Amino acid sequence: MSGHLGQVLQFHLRLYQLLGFHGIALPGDKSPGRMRRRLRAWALFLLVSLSALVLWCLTSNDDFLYRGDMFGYANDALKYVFAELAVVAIYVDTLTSQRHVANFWWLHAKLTQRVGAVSLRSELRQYRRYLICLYGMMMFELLLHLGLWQIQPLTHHMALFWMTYEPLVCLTYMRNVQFVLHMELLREQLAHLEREMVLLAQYSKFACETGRSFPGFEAFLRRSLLQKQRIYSDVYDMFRCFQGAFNFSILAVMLTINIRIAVDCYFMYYTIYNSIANIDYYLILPALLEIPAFIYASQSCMVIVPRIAHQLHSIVTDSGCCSFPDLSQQIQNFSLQLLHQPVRIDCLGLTIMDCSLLTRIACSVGTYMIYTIQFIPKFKAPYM
Amino acid sequence: MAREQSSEAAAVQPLLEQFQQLFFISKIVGILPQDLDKFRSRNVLEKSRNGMIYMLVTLVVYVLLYNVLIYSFGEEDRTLKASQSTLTFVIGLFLTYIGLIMMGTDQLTALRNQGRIGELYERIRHVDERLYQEKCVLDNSTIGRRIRIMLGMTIIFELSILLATYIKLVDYTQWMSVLWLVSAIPTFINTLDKIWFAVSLYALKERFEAINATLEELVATHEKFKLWLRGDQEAAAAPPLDSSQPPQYDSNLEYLYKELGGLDMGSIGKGSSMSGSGKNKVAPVAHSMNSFGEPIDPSDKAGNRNPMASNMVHESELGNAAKVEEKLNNLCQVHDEICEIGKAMNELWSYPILSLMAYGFLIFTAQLYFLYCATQFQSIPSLFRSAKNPLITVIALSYTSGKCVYLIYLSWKTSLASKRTGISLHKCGVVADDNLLYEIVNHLSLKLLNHSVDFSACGFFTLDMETLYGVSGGITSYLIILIQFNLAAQQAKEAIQTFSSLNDTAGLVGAATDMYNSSSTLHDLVTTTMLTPTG
Repeated sequence: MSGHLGQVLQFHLRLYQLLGFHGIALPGDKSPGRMRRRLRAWALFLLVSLSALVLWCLTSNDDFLYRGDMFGYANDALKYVFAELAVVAIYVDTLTSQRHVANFWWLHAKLTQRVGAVSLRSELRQYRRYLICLYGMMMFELLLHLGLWQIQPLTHHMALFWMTYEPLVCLTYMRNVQFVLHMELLREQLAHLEREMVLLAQYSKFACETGRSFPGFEAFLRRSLLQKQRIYSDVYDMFRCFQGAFNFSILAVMLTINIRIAVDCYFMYYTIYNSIANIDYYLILPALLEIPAFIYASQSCMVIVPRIAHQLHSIVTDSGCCSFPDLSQQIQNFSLQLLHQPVRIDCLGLTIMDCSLLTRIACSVGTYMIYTIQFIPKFKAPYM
Repeated sequence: MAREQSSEAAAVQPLLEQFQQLFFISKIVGILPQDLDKFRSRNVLEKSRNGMIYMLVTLVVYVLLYNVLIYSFGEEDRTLKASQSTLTFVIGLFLTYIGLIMMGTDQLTALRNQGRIGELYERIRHVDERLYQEKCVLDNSTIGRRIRIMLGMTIIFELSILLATYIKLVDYTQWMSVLWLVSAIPTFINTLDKIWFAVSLYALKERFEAINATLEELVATHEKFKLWLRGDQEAAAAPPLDSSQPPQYDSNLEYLYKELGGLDMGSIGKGSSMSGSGKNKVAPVAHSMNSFGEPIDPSDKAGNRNPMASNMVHESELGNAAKVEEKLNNLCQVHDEICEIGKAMNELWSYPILSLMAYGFLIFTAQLYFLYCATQFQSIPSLFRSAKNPLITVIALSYTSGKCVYLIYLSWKTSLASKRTGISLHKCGVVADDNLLYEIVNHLSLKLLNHSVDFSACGFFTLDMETLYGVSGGITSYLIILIQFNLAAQQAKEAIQTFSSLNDTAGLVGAATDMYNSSSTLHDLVTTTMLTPTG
């Protein structure tokens, strides 16, 4: 019995529960209260054990961190520290924002009108972006690891480093894909609303051009607009829940991935410059794809609201044969509502998550690379 | 009528009543020139000539003491000048007076503003009275608690930095070392001044939130009213659904009801107290929908709402457009007034905030740079000796950055709260669904769009989180550049030493390999000195 969520969602939410990312019970669970407490304890356990792992790696005398030079050592430590930051942010978010998550899913269920069972195929089609994102990323990461360790002999340092760092990386990736899932759900609601607005606009245009309307046509249009306003308000609340539930972890995950890219770019240059036979820098390729995946999802979520406003204003309120003052007022009201409630995904207001962020990230990685590359000859100097 | 007015005024506590301790401390250390007795007796800030003179005297004393401090501790610097890199020396020189400049800005601005600050709090009191007329009572006691927490944290931070530095890093066998205590004065005075700003800003934010809560309450009451009407008409036969709500939500969402119930004690308590029948099952959840987002004190909410709900469930203000028009108009006027107060307040504190942000940025970068220098066993300017110990550095940095970030965060939050009023207003319009009300809402909504409050530092940059993003990027870049210059300078210095020693030996031995080595070092020297202006 999968309840109303559908098999795909149910399965993936279960997966997130296992990872300690989803702190509330699923439909069909008995005694959600106890489930919630258990999930909370599980998240806390994971947080503590992973933190202990990171602490051990940082303080151990073994070869966890690169020992070639100080800067490389600091870079490796930086990677661990930021991964730890991400882990802390993720689990603290899970522990503290259960109410936002519950509200999100409540609103989602309220808005999703589903009659009868939906086939697995249509569900797969519905969530295809998310699924491609998740499984594509997992496969890519796995294949890269398999391929790389065939070619590359595994040194002691590399084995230790990757065995401890890889789980943290995977956790941040999974969390990132979880954001993508939530944003996809938001986008779906917004897209649905937009489609309905298009229908309304076309309908009003048709009625006004041909003069084929019925008595009470204005009232009908007005009522359906009002309904759309309520739906939009709910979608906006859903968006706010998303922001409330994931604010800190979005920041931490993005920062971690970003730092990793910058640091690994440095190592790439360093190994090539010193002609060291080591190609494990290819492992940043999946990280390079994570940020665009997130930004693509958030961007496609944010671009819909202006389109809704456009469709709203293309509803014909008066033409030769009919004029609807009340409808026009309703449109104004909705339009103002849209102005007051813009969907703007930003982590803690720090920066808006759209494609311009990609440019800025590329710029910052480039600048950082230039700075760090300048360090290399200085560290190589004989008197250092 | 007059008695009514006075009773209302008595019911509204002036905000300044909570500022007693803060004012007392500020007065003693010389941040505010206003009259102490008048403040105590009547809670007003009034100009005072004596206060002004006292404040100027304190300012002069602080400046003198600080200069003596710089002079007496600068002795070490002069002897160390040869050994430390020029870059470090110049940075130290440049930042010596920044704390003093910041303190001077605070005190002089307070002198300039002494008449206007009192006005500001008077305006806030008027706002409170008008809010009280709209049946929204504000609780100022949280502000008093906030002030005490901030004062406590300031004292803890200042004392821990001061004492730790004094004990660990100052040679306290000499009596001159007592002067080190002076080094804490600028930051302490600055923090006290910023507490005034932060708490007043927080009070404004609370007022915005009170307006939003009043509007949301109108919505919630009206929703219940509609449910009640429908239940009456349909005799609870059909499931009571809004047109926007999907069917069969009840069985599907059972688990989430429990979730929300378990998580949001306030709303479930109210729900069980007033539902009882099936038709009201939606109410608690619909209500919790309206109130999530901002954390609300559940006990406070239940206390406020329960009597309201039991009285008003049979009538809703939103049903009567003419009556509600006045209320909405009033609320929007109050909103405008609060925005104006916010702008005025921002203007009063614009120079101190600018100097604080400049101070924060420079000191944060410099402290980290000096920490790096200290880890490389280079000497650093004596005023920044706290950088020698990583733990003290961490405390100092979190103190400075905490001040800046909290102000930015609070400005951002206040601005967001003021923008949220529009959303709540639209909810009122949509839930009432009345033509006259739409007209009002559209008008007021446009008005709100034009009246937003954004805080800025003298117009140089806005105080929102995007600035924080930019500043953190800036600090990282500058730090890396500084470290590179430092490395280059050190290498140049060592190269000179190697070169001179090599020169001595090369003259004696004259081996070809040695010559090659020295020429490569020379090449290094040339390239590194080309890179750095300080070498």
